Amino acid sequence: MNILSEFLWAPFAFEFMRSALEIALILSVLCACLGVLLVPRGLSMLGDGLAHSTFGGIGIGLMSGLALEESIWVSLPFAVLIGFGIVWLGRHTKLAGDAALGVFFAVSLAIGIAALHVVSKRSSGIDIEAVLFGNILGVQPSEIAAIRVFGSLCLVSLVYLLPRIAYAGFYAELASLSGIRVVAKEYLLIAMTAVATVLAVKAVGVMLVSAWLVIPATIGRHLSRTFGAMLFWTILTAILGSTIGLVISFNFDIPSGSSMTLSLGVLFIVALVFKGLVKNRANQFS
Amino acid sequence: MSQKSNIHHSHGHLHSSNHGHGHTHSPDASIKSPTVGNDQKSPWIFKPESTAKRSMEWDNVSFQYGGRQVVDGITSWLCQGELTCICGSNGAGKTQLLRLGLGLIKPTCGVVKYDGSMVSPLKRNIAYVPQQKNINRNFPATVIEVLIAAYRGAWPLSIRKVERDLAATMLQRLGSLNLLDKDVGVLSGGELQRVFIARALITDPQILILDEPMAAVDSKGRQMIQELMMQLKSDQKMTIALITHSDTIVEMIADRVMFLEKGKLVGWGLPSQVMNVQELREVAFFGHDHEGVIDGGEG
Repeated sequence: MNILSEFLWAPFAFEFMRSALEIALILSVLCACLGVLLVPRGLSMLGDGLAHSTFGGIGIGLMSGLALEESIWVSLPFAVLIGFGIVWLGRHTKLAGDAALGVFFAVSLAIGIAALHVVSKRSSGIDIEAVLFGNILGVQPSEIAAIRVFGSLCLVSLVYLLPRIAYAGFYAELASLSGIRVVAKEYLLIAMTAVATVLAVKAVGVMLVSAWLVIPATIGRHLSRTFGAMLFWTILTAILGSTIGLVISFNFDIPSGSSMTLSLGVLFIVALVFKGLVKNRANQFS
Repeated sequence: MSQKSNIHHSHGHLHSSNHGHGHTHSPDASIKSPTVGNDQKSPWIFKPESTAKRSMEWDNVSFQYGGRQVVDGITSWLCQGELTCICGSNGAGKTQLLRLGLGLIKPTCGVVKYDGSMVSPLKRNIAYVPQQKNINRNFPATVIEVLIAAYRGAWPLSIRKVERDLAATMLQRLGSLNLLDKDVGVLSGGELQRVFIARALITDPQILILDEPMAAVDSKGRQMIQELMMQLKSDQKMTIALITHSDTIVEMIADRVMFLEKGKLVGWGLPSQVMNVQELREVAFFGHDHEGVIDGGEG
């Protein structure tokens, strides 16, 4: 019992682990709330696309002479603009949403790679690995403050917006007849996803950010018949996955981004098995 | 107000109603001589009397889509408390006319008015039952949530007892109480139609717009919907517009009928004035298709 207790609680005796847990909880819950809106709309890959846009934004920031931790101020508006571009193209052209996403995804990544190449010639010491894979344990105080402010703002906005955006996601035309400004809400959803993605890149990196957006919501959808239940299961999964991931990362010295993603992956398998067992049991008794 | 007794099945008597004399025993004593508006060419347009209040009005409204004039200079209105059936062949512009009225699409010219003013339709409590139910089947939704979303104007994360009772009452009116907790994604076409009618009624609308509400519904369901429409009209004085391809339905429940053809209003009047015009019947009930259906809408 003592071993288990130490395994679970010892990591949080350290200040940097408590900060990491705070960041993980804010961002994973924010991504979970956005995920419940994105996944049923078939926009699961949006987070991935926006994360790669962040890479382009970071590159431009570095080119402008900003330090890596300051480049968030360029990548934030850059990702929001890319998000708006994807929505605008989807609405005003005959391009499918994923086609527009694919174009922005590739071009942003190319901008990021080119910019990093130029910058690395000027000065060494840019940790590309931290950009690609993130490091929640090494987030700077200024970045923690940005995560607290922007993360909380998005979460508070979502308390009001979530039921309205959800309605538009079920049937946009009827939602607009109920007085919901569907197009504005779509842009807001994308803007918040872009903000969450940029913030989450600091913690889990470009490569793994979509895990927070997609896996908890997919588990929530799998386990739920109603939207309220989906939201509950999604948030619970996000909190569990992030916390367990951090504990494992500390105890087994595994990169935090990958351990949190793996924890979510295991929870996904548990959810599949659990639902399968419940279904089988129900079939047996029916 | 039953119009059934006033219907004259005079197929082949093409111009029998052109002068509006032979059918003045309608409950609405306002029948005038055929009125041909400035922009209207058809001799089968009998405008309602000027004192009739206009719940929704299309004032010289046109709508162009993909280079085609889908709605072409239509001036007409829904009289308050009446049930207006809108008829016409596929692609005639029926659905788009109603979507213009709902504010879902903007007219390329002309204006839509509500109670004589141009206030946003969103503030007018207009309910709509679309023909094609473009629901997102990936979205986790039960029937009660769909009804309460319409009631609240936002998707419910939890449902109160009073809301549950309200939703149950609405479904009960359509004989579909058993659907209350079902997943929307597994409903049949007929069940979905009843759910959408129930969700339209839950806000107690002033105007109810239905696009082929009898489609996909069995005969018992049709009977129930017809009775419900009559009840809404008589008890709640609701203004109702209903697209249908069935002359029987028109003859059973309509107070007034509009006929559309190639985006133009070609007939408008009491059933007794227009339902025995063979040309109009052919346009609407033995119709021919036109191309250019928009947004999955049929008219």
